[in-house]
Amino acid sequence: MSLLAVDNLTVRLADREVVRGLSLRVESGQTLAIIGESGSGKSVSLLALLGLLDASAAAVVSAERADYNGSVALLGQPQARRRLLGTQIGLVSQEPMSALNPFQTIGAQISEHYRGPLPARQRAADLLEEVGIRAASSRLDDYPHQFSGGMRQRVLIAMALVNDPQLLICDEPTTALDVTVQAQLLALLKRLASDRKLAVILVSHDLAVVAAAADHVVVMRHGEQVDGGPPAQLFRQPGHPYTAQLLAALPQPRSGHPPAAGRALIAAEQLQVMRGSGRQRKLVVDRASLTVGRGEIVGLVGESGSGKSTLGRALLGLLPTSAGSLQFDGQPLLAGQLTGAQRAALQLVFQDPLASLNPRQTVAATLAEPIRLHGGWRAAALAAQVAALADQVELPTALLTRLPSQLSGGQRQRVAIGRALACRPQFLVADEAVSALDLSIQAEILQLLQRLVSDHQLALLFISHDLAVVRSIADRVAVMEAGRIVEQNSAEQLWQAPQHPYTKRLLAATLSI
Amino acid sequence: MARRVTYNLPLLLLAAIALACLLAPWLSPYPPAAQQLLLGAQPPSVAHWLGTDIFGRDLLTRLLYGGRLSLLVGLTATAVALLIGVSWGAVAGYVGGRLDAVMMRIVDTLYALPFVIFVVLMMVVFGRSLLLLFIAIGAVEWLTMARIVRAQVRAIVHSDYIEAARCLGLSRWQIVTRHILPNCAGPIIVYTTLTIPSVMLLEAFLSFLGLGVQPPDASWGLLINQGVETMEEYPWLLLYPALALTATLLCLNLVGDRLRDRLEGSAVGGDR
Repeated sequence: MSLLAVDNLTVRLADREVVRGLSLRVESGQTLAIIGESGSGKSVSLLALLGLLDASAAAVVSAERADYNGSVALLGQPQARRRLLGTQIGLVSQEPMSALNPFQTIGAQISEHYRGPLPARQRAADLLEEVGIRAASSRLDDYPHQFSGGMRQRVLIAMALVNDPQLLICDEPTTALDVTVQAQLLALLKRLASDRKLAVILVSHDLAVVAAAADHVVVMRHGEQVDGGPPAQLFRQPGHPYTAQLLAALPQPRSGHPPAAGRALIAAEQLQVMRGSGRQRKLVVDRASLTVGRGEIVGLVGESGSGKSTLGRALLGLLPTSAGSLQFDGQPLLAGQLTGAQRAALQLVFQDPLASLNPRQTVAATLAEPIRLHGGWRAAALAAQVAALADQVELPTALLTRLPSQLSGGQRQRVAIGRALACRPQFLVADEAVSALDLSIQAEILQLLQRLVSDHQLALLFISHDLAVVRSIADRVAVMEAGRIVEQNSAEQLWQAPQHPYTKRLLAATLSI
Repeated sequence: MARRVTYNLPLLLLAAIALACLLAPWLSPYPPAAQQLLLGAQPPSVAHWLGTDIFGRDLLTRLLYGGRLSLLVGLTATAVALLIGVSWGAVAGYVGGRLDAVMMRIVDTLYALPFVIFVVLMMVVFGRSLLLLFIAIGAVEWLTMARIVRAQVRAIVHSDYIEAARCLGLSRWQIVTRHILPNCAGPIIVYTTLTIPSVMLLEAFLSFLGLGVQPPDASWGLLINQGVETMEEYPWLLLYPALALTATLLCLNLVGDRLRDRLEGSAVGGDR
């Protein structure tokens, strides 16, 4: 008998059906994965089942059947359902920093709702041990900020396990983590599922994660289940065109030869960058040498904290360097002393397109600002330029009057790219520019970037933690670890014959379908 | 249609009050200061809608004339506070570092000065005048505004869109005026609508001490204070000035709320 059996679940939020006719079966010891792009209703359906939706959302939830363990009707018995939470059902959320209370030790947080017979500290220490935190008992009195992202996620899992639940629900548990950490965590989840006979529901948008971790997959789109099955079969023979479309949108290794790199447009030699002030001042980029030529895409990969964003900003003249030389088009580039032409020629595209756009400026105003500043265009000529720019980044003119909050993620990123292009740049740094986007949108933006590079002979530095994406777009790749560039090679060479142990480790941890 | 009217009611009421005060000389048949000692304090009647005060002056007339002064003080002093506070806070917040520390310590120091002594000192040194009253009140009220704006600016200055603007080559002035201040507009507007009432109350307090508006001129604060003295015999002398002040302050707060909701709603609305 299934631990969780749901038939025909429907969720309405403010007169909009966000989930329609969803049916799920979760068995003990098995991992069920729900995948879909943002807004597909994958998280909402679970939150609705558990009664965790915001009361202000005024959700109307109904289902033919929603039984937990054959005994509790999740939708009919709110009291009984609430008692299940934290005892029978454990939850692990996406963002481990905001899910932990920064003012409490993790020992206190783990054992806070413990209902068993053991001493609370003992229980917390055992659990930390189980989720793979070394010297567990000595870390009980540490605070969340003393742990890394992956460790925090482990703490959250320990917290969810405290009352020996039978069902563990993980909402995008690895999205915020580096690849090597992600691989470790997925292995942990797998081990827990088999050791404890735990049923796991894994919500994710990442096909590779799902393929690695799930026994059964449900594909959701627009609130409906469109496809399902074991991952091996599903990804080999998709039952629905949408699944096929998702698979096709996966970044593919780039084929064809890299263009012969001409003269380097931007050249950094033994560059050092310090950040922070006073005693906290530390070396973030250590003797990095990197060149990017016209029409060339160079990938910069590394884990969080490796200094890749800092290097990117230093190359744009946004951060002062403490040693080494930096040249742009043969001229030295000094932060704070850029000429107007240099400033315009060096542009940046950010990770989070919403945060990088002024929330009070319409698309047209955002695009017009740099054109007016650097081109001196006015009135009708300016409007024509804006329209041309929107056309270049394939943004419908109807969207020009909208505010960023009224756009989708992909549209926002097009605006951000358009704004960078408005200055007619020669060197563009894309800092995790597709990481916040859904798979299909990501593929579109990558195509756009490639087209712009070849159309305008741009030099592009593509910073990402996602190796598959980098492989799909970059001609050359630099690998960064702890502030140093440890390896640099053509993309093909790097994947076929990685030299540095860190590169090997990174590549080994990368999941693929 | 009916909903629209209710929605705009505070604004309409505010406009009506302001207009009535502005047109006082034409609306009222009585001179504001001429005493009719024989008449004395009369309760509201057909001839005197809100009654008369102990000197036989028409209360409605005095209310309308007093409103001109109260509103004038409220708006001018708030404008002074807004101007100093926003520029001070924006500079401190945007530049940061040592300048920020120095500027905010100055604000802290000024906070520590007792307000009344400060005003008395100014009156003693510069003599008593209405203009000085505006400056004195404005010079006190800008402190909180500066703190609010600075905190907002600090929060925004590290956001991606500011870095993007810097990367586009915008000047500091352009970044502050086009990107930072519009995004602090919500709290600034709300605090402004809260400042106008508190300024009007301050003026009432100063007038009560004899440092502000002098009889026979009137302001709402002064009328309320005079009303308090004779509250037991002639309650209408307290009731109507207090009602006028309360209604105006309430409307101001409601309008401020509306304005903030509209501004924030347009920028942050929709899903992300």
